[in-house]
Amino acid sequence: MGFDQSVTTTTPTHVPISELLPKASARLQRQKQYARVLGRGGNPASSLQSWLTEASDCIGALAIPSIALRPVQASAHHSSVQIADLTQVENPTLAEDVALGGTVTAYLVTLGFSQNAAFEWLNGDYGAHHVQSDLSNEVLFELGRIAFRKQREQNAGVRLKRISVQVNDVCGQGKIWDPQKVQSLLSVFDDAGLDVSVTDTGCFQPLNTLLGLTVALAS
Amino acid sequence: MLSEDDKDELFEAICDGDRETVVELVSRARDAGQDLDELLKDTMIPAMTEIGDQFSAGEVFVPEMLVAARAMQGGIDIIEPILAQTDHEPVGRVCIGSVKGDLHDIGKNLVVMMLKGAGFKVEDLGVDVDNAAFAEAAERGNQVICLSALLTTTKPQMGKVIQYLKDAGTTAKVVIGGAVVNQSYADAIGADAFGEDAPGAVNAVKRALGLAN
Repeated sequence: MGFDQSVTTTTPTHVPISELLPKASARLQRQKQYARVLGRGGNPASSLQSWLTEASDCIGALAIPSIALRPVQASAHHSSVQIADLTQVENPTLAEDVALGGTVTAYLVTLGFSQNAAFEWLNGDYGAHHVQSDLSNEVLFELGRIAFRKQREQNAGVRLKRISVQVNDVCGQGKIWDPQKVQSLLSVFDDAGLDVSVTDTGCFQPLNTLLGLTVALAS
Repeated sequence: MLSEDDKDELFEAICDGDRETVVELVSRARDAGQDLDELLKDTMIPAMTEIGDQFSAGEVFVPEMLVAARAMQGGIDIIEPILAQTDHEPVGRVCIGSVKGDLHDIGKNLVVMMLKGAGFKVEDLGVDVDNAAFAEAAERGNQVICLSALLTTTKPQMGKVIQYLKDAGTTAKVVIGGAVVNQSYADAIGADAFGEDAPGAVNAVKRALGLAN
C-alpha cells in the first residue's frame, strides 16, 4: 500500500488555538519546574498562574497555528537524497527508505507569530514573556503531534517516519542542516501563504516553526 | 522603621517570590523615612543573589527565579522614584542584546531580570542586534556590553562584535553568554568575562567592572 498523496492539501490547515492551548498548558504545568511553584500555593503560585493566563491570552490573540503538507519528488543517490530540483540531503537512513520506494512529504508547522509581537503584547513583562515562550513551545509540539496524527489517520497501514530539519544545534550535538538547504526545502511552501522564512544563520521566522520530511513506506 | 526581623522577612519574601509582602515591607520602610539605598544594597540585592546562587546550584528552577525577580521588582518600583531624586547611582550600566542573526531572547531576558535585581541599570537592545547598535549603546554610557547567542551559527558573530567595538575604540567591557559558548571561547575571542547562566552573567558583569573576583 502506497502513501495516499491525495490527503495532502495544497492549502494549509489552520488549527483552532482552542484545540491546542488546554493540552499544551496542562503539559507545561506538569513540568517539574512549574509544578513545584504551583504546588507551593501562595503568592509565588498565583504570580505564575497569572503569567500562565496572560501567556494563554497572548498566544490566543496572536497565533495562527497552521499545518502545511507537500509531497515532494525524492530520489536516492548513495547515502543522500535529492529533493525535487531543490536540495540534496545527506541522510543514509532516508536514502535507504527512498531507495525502497518510500514517498516523501515535506511538512511545515508554525504558530504564525513572532516573539517580538508577543513581548509587545505582554507590555514588556519579562516574566510573562518567558512563560509565554515555554507555553508556545508546548503549543507548537502539540500542533506537530496533530500534523503527524492526521497523516497517520489518513494513511492507515503505511509506516511513517519523521525526519525533522534541525537548522541549529544548541548543545553541540545532532545533525545540522545547512541553512541554505533549509531555505530551498522551505520554498516548496512558497504558495502556502504562511510567511515563514529562515535567516542566513538558520533561525526560523517565526521562531515557533517546525519543518521536516515524512517518509511513507509500505508495511 | 524595619527591624532586623523585618529585614529578614523581606529577604525571605524576595527569595520566596512573595511580592505582596515585599511591597508591604518596602512601603513601610519608605513611610518611616528609612534609608532605602541601604535597604536595597544590604537586604534586597543580597536576596536576589541568594536566589541566583540557588538556581546555579540546581536548587530552584527558572519559574522560582522569575517570581523572585517579580517580587524584587515590586520593591524596586517603590524605591526607584525616591532614589531618582537623590544622587543614587546604580551598581553599573549595562546593555544587552542577542547578536545579529540570532532571534532567541529567553536567556537574554533572564539575564536582564537578574541584572536589574542586582541593582544594575539595564538597556535591552533586543534580538538580531547590529554591531553598530552595541557600539552606540556604549557611547550612551553603558559600561558593559552583554552579548547573547544560542546558536552554533551565531556564536562567531560575538567575535565580530568584539572586533567591531575594538575598531570603534569602545572601552566598554564585553561579557558573553549563551548555551553554545564557554570560558575558553570567551578567552579566544577576547571577551572580558563569560557568564555560564543568568546569575553567572551577573557575576561576570561584576568581574568585568572589578566589583567581584
